[in-house]
Amino acid sequence: MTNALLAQFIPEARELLERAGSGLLALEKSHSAEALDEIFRAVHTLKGTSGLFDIAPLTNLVHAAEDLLVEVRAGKLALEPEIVDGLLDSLDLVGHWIDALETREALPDDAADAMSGRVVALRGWLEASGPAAAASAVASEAAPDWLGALPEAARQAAYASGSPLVAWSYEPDETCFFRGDDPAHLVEQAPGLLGVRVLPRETVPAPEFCDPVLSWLRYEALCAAPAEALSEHLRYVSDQVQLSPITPDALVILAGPEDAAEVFGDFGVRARALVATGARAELKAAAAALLGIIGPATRQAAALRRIAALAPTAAADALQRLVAAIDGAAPARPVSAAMAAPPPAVAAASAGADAPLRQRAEAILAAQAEMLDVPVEAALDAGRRESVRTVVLRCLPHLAPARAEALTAALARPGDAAALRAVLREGEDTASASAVVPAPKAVQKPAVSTAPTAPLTAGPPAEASENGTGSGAAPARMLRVDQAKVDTLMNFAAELTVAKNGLAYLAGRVEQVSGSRQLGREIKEQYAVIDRIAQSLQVGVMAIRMMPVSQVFQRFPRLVRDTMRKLGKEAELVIQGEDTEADKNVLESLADPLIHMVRNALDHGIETPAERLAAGKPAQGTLRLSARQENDNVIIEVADDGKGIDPDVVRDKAVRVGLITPDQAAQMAPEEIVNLVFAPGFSTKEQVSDLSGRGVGMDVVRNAVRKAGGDVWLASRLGQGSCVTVQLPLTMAVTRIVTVEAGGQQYGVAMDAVAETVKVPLGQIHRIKQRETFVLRDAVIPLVRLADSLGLAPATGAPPDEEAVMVARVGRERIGIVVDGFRERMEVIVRPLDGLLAGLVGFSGTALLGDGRVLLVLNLPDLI
Amino acid sequence: MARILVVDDATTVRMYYRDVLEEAGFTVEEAVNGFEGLEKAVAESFDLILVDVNMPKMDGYAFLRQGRTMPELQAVPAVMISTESAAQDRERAYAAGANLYLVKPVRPEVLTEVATVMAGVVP
Repeated sequence: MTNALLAQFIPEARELLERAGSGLLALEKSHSAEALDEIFRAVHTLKGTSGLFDIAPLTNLVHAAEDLLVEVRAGKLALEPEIVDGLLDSLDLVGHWIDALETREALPDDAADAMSGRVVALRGWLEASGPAAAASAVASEAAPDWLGALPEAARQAAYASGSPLVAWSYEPDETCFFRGDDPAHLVEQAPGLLGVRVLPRETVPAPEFCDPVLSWLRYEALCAAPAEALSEHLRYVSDQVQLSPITPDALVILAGPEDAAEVFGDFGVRARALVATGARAELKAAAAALLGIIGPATRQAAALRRIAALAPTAAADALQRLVAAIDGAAPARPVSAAMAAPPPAVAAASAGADAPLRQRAEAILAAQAEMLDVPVEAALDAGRRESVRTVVLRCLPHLAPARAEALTAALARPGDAAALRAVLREGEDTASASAVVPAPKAVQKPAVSTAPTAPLTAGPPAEASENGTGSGAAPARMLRVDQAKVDTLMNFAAELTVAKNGLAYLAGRVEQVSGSRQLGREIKEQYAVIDRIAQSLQVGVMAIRMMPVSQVFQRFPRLVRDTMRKLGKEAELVIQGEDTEADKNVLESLADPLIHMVRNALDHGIETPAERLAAGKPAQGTLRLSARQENDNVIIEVADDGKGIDPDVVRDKAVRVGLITPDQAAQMAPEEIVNLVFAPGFSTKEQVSDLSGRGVGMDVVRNAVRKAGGDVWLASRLGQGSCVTVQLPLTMAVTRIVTVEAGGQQYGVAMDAVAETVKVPLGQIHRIKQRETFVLRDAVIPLVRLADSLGLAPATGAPPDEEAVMVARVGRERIGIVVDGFRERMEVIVRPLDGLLAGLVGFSGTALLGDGRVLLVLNLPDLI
Repeated sequence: MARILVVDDATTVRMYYRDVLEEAGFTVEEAVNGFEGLEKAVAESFDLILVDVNMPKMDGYAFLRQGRTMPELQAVPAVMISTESAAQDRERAYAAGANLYLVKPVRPEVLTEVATVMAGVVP
């Protein structure tokens, strides 16, 4: 159960984080109450859900963020950019933790430390907005069960102090002395220390085995200080410490045997009257007088001592609770605490029926009484009484017979609500008395680390549609599938596509060997059928892997915002075509290059507001991120309206670093020149920038994109901006190729790269500056002989009277590649070269042909 | 077989309740907000409703208030489960018509006991 639950939590948490993050960015642009609600709800849900797991640092951090948002929502705190930064950073940290949960099913070891740092920062803004808010933020945790063992004086001092209280325990590591820790000193120095007790640990070895230089102690202490201050103080031993912020109420622990003397009833009546009239001095005197006549060890005596001490200052309701603890007329602690755990002592005492259920039923009955005390709108009253009736009837089978009879009798008089309430309360004595010493066993949270969990697909968030679902609309039925399964399916589909090529080869063989044209044709027909099915299968499987580009784009609003803040520039991000889909692997290969390109555009492209105004542009720049599909490719463009790239600067630089000769430089068009920024080792920005490295990143970008089977190029207009275009194949699994022959060898060329194939008569090939060219529809196209590029001997025999030319697109240029001939077209799986061959330049990989031969597939951009 | 409706916008939380309650032999239906909860609660009958506080479209308070005025729902016991433990939150829940207020995270055995008693499972 646990791991399935965690596997469910991880994508949900990511989606909530994403929603909160993008909400914050939107909120910064324009304030909207709905956006704020949305963010708050996301953070709130995350906090509530994270409580199901044993990941306290995460819950605490999200809790602090939620508290901050509460203040913002209440209008008590303005959402300054620094606060947005703080919240975003915290969400990022939580995101990292979620990643860690996914990979190792536990938070990182430093999570507690990292959490306390962030929480201090978040609480800092809270305290600035109002101390009351900060105090309320820590007043909700369950009190540890050893609290009652602390000296009563310490607890009384704490109750009166009015500052936030933390009960904490500390079990120093056995070997702590060897690491230079001084536990006693650390405890003594704790901020706001009110009381401490030292005891041996639960498990101490027998004396003859006990190593005296190891620590076997446990400290339990109470401090009047904010939890953050304590976690800061104890940060180096955070793994050995348990902090529990507590409310002053939790300190009202009255230990000792019960004394059932009638005198308490009289005292109760009088004390209530004194509290109500504000006669605090008399209350104190009455308590002192009663103390004089009863034994000091009873729990009533403890309550009386407290009343005597607190009478002059305490709030009336606190005193009422203490009085109630003496005469037993009301619970000494809120009923919710009674719900927290069935006390074993009472459970053991009850005879017959299932004791925990009896206890539970009593607590539920007490809640009904409390509910009936709360005033309600008239319209709801009848319904509420009906529901109470149902609940009471359902509790009856779990109760002792006498109690059930009393309740049944009270229910039989439906008009008499007061009587029902009184009867309901009768069970409270046992419930509340036992609740006075709460025994909150550690909440049994599902352990986070057990058996390995199934890997998760980072599929589109299924909950998004669900949360937005209105009445009636059925949520889209989603299936979470392990990505490895889809990959396996994809591989089989691809293998099938390749294997079917064998049939075409077989048909040819049948015709050659047996001379049966009929049989060959039949095989070809069968091939066509299998071909169609294989293609449908491949398209279908591919569709599973297709993801919208928005998966990659969604991180950019944040990136642009943060980068702009760092650079002191202003830019608006425009995203277009985020619904365009591409294969998951392709998108993943795109993610890093895209970050680099966006950072480059922001860092080097967009000018400062002052520069822009001086150039007659709006102070705010625009960065356009767009995606679209063209044939079998995804085209991604990163365009800015910044200062553009100066071809003269690039030209000079390229010549200076020896990238091109001055002669070459003179021949190159400005469009070609600017694309030199992709050359290895080129940098237009002289100084190192903290954001985009040294500007050498563009060659890395080109390498990454080419590795994924795509290409990248740049267009720029000086003073008007630049546009980087990335072209990637829709999928990387299957490549359509055409085989060509050169120097007696066969090679594959990806069809994507081939614009067209033409036969060029020898007479139309001209030499221009030592380079062969030909004219294709008024465009001069340079020619490259493939055999030369590959270092092969040219084909022997008489030169043909026309050349077979493959016109290839390399970037935005067209180049004619002269080959000896074209062979068939087919679909193959291109496997990258590995081992010794991995270093070969000019090949994107190998493909297995239908007849078992291995084909080298060319990578034209590398080759030319 | 006692039937329980779980109304919470967090998928993981619903899954947790479902795991625990189905293990204990209950039949569990889910709704992602108060609106859907009302629709399901009216269309089918339930022995117990567990409802979250903060949800989009219709929150837990509105869900309870609406439910207590509807003949089909007014007698059905309802437990509100929240992350807040302050007394005023509990009172708000009672004022809206909750029969019990629990604070997240609810331990599996507490959830099972509460469901057993309030959904009317006779021992």
